[in-house]
Amino acid sequence: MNSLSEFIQVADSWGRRDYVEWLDTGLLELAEPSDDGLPFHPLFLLPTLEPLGQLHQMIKRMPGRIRGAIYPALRDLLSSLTPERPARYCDLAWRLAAGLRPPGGLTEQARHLLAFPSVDIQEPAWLECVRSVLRAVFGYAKTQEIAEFVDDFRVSRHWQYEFAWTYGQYLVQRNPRQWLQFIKDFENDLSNDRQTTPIGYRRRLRTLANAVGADCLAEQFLAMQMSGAPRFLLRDLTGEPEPIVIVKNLGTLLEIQVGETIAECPPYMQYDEIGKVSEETIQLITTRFRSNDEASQLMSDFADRMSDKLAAAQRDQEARTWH
Amino acid sequence: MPRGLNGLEEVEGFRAFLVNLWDGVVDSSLDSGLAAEYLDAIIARCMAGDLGSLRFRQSLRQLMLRTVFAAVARFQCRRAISGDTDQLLATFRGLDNLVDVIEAHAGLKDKLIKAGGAPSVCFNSSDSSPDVTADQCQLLAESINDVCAVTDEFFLAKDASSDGRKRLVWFTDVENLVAHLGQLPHSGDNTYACNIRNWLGLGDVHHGEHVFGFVSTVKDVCAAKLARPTVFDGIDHRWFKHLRALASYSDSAGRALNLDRLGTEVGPFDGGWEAVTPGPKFRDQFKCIYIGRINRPTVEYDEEAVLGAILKSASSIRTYADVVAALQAKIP
Repeated sequence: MNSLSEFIQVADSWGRRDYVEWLDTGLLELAEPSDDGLPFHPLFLLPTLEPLGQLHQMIKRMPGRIRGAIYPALRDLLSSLTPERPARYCDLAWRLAAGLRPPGGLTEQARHLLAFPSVDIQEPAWLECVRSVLRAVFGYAKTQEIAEFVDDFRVSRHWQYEFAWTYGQYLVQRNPRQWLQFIKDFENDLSNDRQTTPIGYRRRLRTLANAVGADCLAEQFLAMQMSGAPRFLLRDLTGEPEPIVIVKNLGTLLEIQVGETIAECPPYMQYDEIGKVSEETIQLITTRFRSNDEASQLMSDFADRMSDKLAAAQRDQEARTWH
Repeated sequence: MPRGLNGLEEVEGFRAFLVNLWDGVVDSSLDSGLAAEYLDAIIARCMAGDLGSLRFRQSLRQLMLRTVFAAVARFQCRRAISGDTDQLLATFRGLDNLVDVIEAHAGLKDKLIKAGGAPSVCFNSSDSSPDVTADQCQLLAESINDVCAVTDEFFLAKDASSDGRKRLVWFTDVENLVAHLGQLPHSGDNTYACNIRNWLGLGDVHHGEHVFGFVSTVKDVCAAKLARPTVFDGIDHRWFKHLRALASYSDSAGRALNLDRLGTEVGPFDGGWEAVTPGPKFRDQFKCIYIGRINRPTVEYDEEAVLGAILKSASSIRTYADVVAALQAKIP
């Protein structure tokens, strides 16, 4: 009999408190190992391999009734977590939650822990814990609940600009059309990142763009300039040394390529004078500006002209539909 | 033969360990005195408790591992092999274990995330893979290559003991791998990832996990320290198989257990070439590549299937009882 089946046999008679206690003692043993400790006994974890991954795999292979008992126990444990426990313990508990993702979301549990003044993100162990908390919270699909959590959290003392990217990745994975709004909402964080760690910033932007894909990017490509998105964005996406978005003028079509995805620009771009529009767009994108003011002026002029064109196209479309 | 050996069979994985131990003694890659000393120590501990108790059996299993890892110089990496001087080496690991090694290097993760642009979703979860895309894995590999190229502080293993000796890392020969599975992929190739997993006996990499490789960029790396794995080197690896089929290889390296052959009656059970060495430095010697995701159902550990394959790896038919009897005769 292996340790998994022995565990199942034992745990079958447990109540909810037993599961919480099992998690509690197991996590404590991982956080502060003792000489002869056996974390998560009756399971057996190899001491040379990453322990939480092993635990996770074993839980995944347990019967539904046991997994169904572990989830609420983990939620109970997170709900009662306080900084009196070591930061490493809290970190591990949240990592397990990030992997297992017990049903029901975890924003309340996150708010509970982050409200303690002694959770100090300047300490590396607590920074790790907060990363794990966010990793767990963002993994759920309840976007409204998470959006409210982020709104509150980003004005707290714990907020760091790296968290914006973590949030952004989940946001666009769920709904790629949110990418532009995300960039506008978190412009300050992205701008700080751009200045502080330019290589890392470009890679993060590239990953975000790849996750969004050419289709969604094309839909809002020109809207970037018309909707108050940061001025640096277009240049960062299309600029040297390695453009994240490659713009191609195919004569009658404007096409963009992001990673391995390719898309044509939206219909309104092709509605009238497509050649001129494409040319103008290409020219704008490839222009090397002498100053920020010059870039800003050109972008602004372009945005105005595009707005007019768009409005005219929409009016025309409505008129056609009407008739 | 020390008393209590039969009782130890109750310890999970012990029978497979014992067969591997015996194979090492027979082909002289393990000193019989060392094997006897090890067994004596375990059995002495075994006599002090109740093998009917699960906790005691698990403590014993932990002791079996810790005895080896607390004295790596004594038990591990003892059979040097003469490597091919043109050899390129590679080792592979799942995302979770890659993250574990990264986190064992203080400050590295922060640099990877902030300066290198490594996606934060690769970290801080007991199972990161489901949320991570292939594109993000490529980015993680890219950031490791950039950030770790300028530090002498990143090794392909964690510290093993208080003396700072690095844990062992297993390697395979790239030429041997390519001959069986084709060229390593330039970008994620899920089929290739599954094939690597089975060919190299990576039973601890599960369905859905992303697989990464560290491939040497210079020839002859670690050559002087490469060793054929013994059962002590693979003691924490339940899929470990010591014996090479029919001694049909010109090299002196080991062979992994081919997981595709598990559960079948007929061999060969040998998978890819393998050797071990204390964790080498990354800088100027390796590059990290993303291989792909395990997208086929995986063979999960089955004690009887693994024991069966290890027994059948020998050139002559034998049973577990044969091995125990032979061990009793050889080790007083």
